[in-house]
Amino acid sequence: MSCPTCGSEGADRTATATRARESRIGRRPPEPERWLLVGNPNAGKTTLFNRLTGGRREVANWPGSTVEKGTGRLAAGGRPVELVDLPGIYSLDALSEEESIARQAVLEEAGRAVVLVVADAARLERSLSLVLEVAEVAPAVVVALNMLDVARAEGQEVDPAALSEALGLPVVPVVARSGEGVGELVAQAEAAWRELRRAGDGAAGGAAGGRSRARGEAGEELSDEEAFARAEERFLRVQEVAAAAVRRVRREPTPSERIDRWALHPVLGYVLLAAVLGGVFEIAFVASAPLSEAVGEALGRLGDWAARGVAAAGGPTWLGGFLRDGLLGGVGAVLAFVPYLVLFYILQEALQDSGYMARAAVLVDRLMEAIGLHGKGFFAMATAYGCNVPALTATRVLENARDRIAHELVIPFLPCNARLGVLLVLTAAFFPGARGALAFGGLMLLSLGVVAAVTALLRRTLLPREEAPLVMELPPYHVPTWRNAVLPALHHVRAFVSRIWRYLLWATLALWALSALPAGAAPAQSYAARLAGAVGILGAPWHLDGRLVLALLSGFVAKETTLGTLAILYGSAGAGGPVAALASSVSPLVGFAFLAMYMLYTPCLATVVTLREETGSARWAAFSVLLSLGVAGLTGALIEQLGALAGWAL
Amino acid sequence: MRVVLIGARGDLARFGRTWARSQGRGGDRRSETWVRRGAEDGTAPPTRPQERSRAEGSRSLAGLAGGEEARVVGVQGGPALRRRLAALGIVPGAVARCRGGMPLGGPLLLEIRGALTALRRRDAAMVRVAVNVEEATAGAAPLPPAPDGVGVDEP
Repeated sequence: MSCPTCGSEGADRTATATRARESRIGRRPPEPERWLLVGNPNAGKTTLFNRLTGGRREVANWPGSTVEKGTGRLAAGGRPVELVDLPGIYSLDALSEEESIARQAVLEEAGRAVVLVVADAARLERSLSLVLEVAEVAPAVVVALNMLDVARAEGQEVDPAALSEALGLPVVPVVARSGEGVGELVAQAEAAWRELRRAGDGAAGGAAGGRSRARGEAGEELSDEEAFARAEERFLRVQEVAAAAVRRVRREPTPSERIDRWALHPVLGYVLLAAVLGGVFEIAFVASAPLSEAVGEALGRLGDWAARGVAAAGGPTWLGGFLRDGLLGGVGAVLAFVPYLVLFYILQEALQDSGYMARAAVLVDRLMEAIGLHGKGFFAMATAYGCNVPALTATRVLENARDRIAHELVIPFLPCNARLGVLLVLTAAFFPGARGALAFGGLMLLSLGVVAAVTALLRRTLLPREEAPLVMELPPYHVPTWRNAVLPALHHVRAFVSRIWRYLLWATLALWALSALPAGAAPAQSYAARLAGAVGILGAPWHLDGRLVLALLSGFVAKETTLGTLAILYGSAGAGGPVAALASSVSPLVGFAFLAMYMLYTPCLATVVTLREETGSARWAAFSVLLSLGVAGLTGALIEQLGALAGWAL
Repeated sequence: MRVVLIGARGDLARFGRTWARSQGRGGDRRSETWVRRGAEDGTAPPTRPQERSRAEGSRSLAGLAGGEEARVVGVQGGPALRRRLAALGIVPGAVARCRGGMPLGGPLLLEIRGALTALRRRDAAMVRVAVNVEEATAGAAPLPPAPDGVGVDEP
């Protein structure tokens, strides 16, 4: 099969060369055909993008931002077309990062690209406002009128022909979900492109001059009052257009309204929310466990086999250990994430696509607002108990960058599945019987308290709340499509693996080297054990010995390795196994402080790398690491001091 | 017949009324009085548009009860809030229908510009509305004088 990407890249390069040559001799360069896709959030823009491009989406960030830029290719009239998916927006008023980006892209490309505006017939007025705004600055606009069926069910019949006449723009009815009308949309966009080229070639001077003047007017920053007045005018015009194209028909309660009677019920709504969250956890983090285990087992067997192979070939024993525990262990550490990340992201995208996520945000907004967070961040926070990595990615639903960072900084204080597992085992060791449940409950409350306290602190210092409201639109429910759920999920997982594997592999190799070298030494003589003696001084203020400090350090690679490290370090300490040895080596008070510190201190490597990616800056990631170290240290010290005051032994 | 609590249904509407009252907005209580009186003595509720228009024109979007419909007459608040709301079509002339609110002072659900939109009460309080949609549309147009003896004055 020939590679379409390489082919078009080659074409691009040729085009660039031609353009360079032509600009030297002063002729207008032929430009690559480009279409921009614009639309309100939830108007079906992504679905249409997938329809047009066959789902192939190259993802990058817009320069200097964390906003995702999706591009794809399609063939129209035998020529390749680049389709750029702009962020979902309500207006070109540059209030949010997404809007600034969309505004800039439309302004820059106006006159060179066709702008396809996806309009939602069921929420026509907001869509039309965006259409009018885009049409002010772009000469080639085609409206894709989506969701006509939903509009009909909600009691309004939209006439595409009348709409086209009232707007003075081509309007193509489409059903993005089934692909109906997409061919006609492509034909109309082609026609608009030809028209644009003809205008450009014909009156190069005049038209270009006129356009740039228009762009100058539209591109200027409006004062707040002007922006408000223009919006008011625009919506008056929207009402006129809608009046010409919309006929009210008899309406009955739509399925969405009927579902919302339960989903947004003041009591049952919360019951349903708990059930949905429980379902997500069950499927993503519990049902995926056998898969993760199977992957681990397969790698373990492969490792054993490799070690035996090395031994049979007469190689040194450390080489076998290196292959099994170092190399394949590292691969396993990366792959262990994959099963539940795939399932989790599919469920998350499906919930988002179905429209339920917006309801969940509305239900819990008051609660989240009380501690300085936002309802939209709730799902991310709740799923942090499964794994912090997807939780950080899930904060993307928040439009405001400052809110997003506030959520991302407190998520690591919520213990993930791995940390919860270690905490359960260690709590049971330190506090046998019923006291264990009490201690564990205390730890969970402590983590929530820390989240509230840290948010309050951030809101008063680095990340004050903005005055702008966070408005949530609740789209009608619909059954999520496989394409909309699975494609982005696989993309997330691929992105995660490609950025994490190096770090995790090296870190696992380092851990292996520490615990297995020098070759042939007993565990007590390994570098790890020696290092434990050296790092002991770090733990002194909290009455922790070197072995506990080292366990915390190794937990940075992956939180679940803490138990393994403790087992190695305490393995030879006495009868009853490492856990009993550990429990008898410290007082319950210090044990509890250790558990609290383990729960709160620096999140794992994968989380830090994701944090860096999601905040778009290494500085925020570093700040997060220091913040959690500081909070953990402070909390540990407080627990011990207060405990000692209350008369417990250190 | 001017029953303000159109289709007031279930807990959401009840909650909205309770909340509006706790905020010191009397509009709902008064309209309930009208409804009761109309039901008792068989007369229609008062029809003195000027008076009601003035009184209700001062209400805010946050004071709407479930099922109530109102027309936006003004948006207050800071510039960022006004621009954000304007981008969503929450400008004078927009019609909003309240679908209730979340418990404990959570967001209000509003049908506005054809879309179900959740707005925090604090933000919704910045939007001034006139509850009787036809009157607000009439705007400054002279209103017909109320026929004597039909209007029932507020006690």
